Amino acid sequence: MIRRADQIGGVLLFVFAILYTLEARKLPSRGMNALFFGQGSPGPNFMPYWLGITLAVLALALIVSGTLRPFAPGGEEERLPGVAGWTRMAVVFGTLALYLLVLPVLGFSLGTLALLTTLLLFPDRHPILIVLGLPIGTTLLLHWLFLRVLHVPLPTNVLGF
Amino acid sequence: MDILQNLALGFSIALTPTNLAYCFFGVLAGTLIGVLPGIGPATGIAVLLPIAFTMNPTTSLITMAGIYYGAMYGGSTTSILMNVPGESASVMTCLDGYQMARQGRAGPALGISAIASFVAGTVGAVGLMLLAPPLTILALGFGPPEYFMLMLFGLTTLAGIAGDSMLKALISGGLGLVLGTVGTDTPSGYLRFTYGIPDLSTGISFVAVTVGLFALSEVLVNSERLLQREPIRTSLAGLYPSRADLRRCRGAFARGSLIGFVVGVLPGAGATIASFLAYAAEKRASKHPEAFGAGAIEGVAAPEAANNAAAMGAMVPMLSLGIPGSGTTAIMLGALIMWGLRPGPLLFEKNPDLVWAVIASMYIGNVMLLILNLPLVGIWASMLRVRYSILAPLILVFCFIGVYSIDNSMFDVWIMVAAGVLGYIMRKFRYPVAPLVLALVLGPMVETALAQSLTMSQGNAAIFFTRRTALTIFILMVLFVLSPVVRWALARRRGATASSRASV
Repeated sequence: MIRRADQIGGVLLFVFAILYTLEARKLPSRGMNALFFGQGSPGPNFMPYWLGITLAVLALALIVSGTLRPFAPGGEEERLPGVAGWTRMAVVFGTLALYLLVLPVLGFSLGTLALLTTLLLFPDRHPILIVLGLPIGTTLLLHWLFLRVLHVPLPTNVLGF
Repeated sequence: MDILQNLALGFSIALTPTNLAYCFFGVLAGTLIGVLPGIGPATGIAVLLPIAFTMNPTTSLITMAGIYYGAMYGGSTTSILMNVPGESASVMTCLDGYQMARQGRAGPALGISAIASFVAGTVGAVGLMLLAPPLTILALGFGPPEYFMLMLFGLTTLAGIAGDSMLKALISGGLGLVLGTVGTDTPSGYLRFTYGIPDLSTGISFVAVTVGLFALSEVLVNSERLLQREPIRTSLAGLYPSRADLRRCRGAFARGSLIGFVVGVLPGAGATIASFLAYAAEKRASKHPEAFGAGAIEGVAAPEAANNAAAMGAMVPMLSLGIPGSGTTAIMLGALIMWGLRPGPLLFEKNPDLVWAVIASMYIGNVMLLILNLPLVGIWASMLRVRYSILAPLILVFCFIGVYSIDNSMFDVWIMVAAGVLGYIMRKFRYPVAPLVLALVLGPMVETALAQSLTMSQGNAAIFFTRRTALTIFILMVLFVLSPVVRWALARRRGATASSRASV
């Protein structure tokens, strides 16, 4: 599994490194730099260009090492989750993404209340006391701590919380 | 004499009520972070950054350092009671700590771990106090070429040691350097890879990437399965180790502290490797090596001493040279830079109050930790029953607050999400994430030092090899890179000699 992953990862990294190098070549080689430093100093393209080439070499090394590694069946499969694992992770990630999308509308306090309640119901269900108490308590505490005491600016809804 | 005067200055600042309160908060939060499986010190510091940014830099650094070494204390509790390391540096503590707990000796195991942590933490603080100032004096003579070589060395060593594949660590570091090139090129002021997005002109947020890579990816990895392990049910009575136990552990305290501190000072080595080496050294030095792994109390004392001393040691290169020695110190370094402070020799010159207050706070924090850990161990043990599925949503909220509050930017929050996904993939395919963070911090600094060096030499790269100190650092770097090859060649030669003897 890791062997194949190294080969695929190496190819993806190689493509990225080449694209990055090509983009780096578009940057000025000295240009504005000469205004601030002598002609000898490298321009804005120097480090990205050489970095891209180095990454491409490392990507090739990854492909080679992945290809030369002896195949060990079943050795690494457990590192990737099964369907249940993917589902659990998708629930957590999806809830987080939704939370971030609705945050500017719902505001920090309401949004956080919704996020915590959802994640205490799915993917693992907790006792009702925790599902109800923890989100309310945590939201009130965070609202007081960050908005009132520490004056950390957090998104608010039209009602101001 | 200077050191004592500076230390007195440090104590006068560290002992103010505010700093004492935050030091206590730091070690308390650190212990909690160490106790709870699935949250490491780097994650803990990353998610608590917004609170840190509401304080002045001194108080903040005292808090962050407290979290760092507090987590080393707390990590042993889960190792001993659950056979699950609270963080990677506590892996070795599981071997004998859990066996002691199964034999009904959880109390002495936790007790000796707290005492070892206290002894090593104090030794480490003394070491930091003695070693950092001379290093600073040496580094004051450094120019851009020396700094360039030093930072390159820092990147190489971390890449070489982090994780189990040097190639993957180098790729991780390379990706960090790539992210570091986004935004305004410091020497020239030219915008690179921003593609007209104004949020990228100041570069990719270090906090967003760090929180995503460490905290969010950890939540994603752990959310794949139901994490619920019950701590071993055992008596915590007889917490204080007997005199015989303490006598047995004297050598372990000393060796663990020394090994831990030295390894911690080396950029990239870190607390985990320190605890492995200390355990191995203790086993070798023991008259009863067969007892290791079956509940030897020295097997708990040595790694616990080492990981605490290493946490202190890792502060030496960060404070004196501006080179982070680990993922956690990379985050601390990034925080200092965000305050406009330049970690390194000038920090000792320009902000002695900050540096010495942090050093003094470590003595105070260690005493606090001993008090917190010995009598309150029952409370920490009960924390182990908190399910990860309850902690995960809270961590996500803290991740959001941490990233958003820095610049009130949802763009940074989405960068965090992207970094979280990247971190998940990296963890799954065994790419260490710490080199990426380190490279992101050091990348722009390396580039500036390179530009300044070549400006000094009118574009002649020989400047890196004609200056004695820069050349010395370069040679050390080459030796470090070649060391695995040399070790492999020596092992091969030894193997060949052994087989030829066997055939004779």
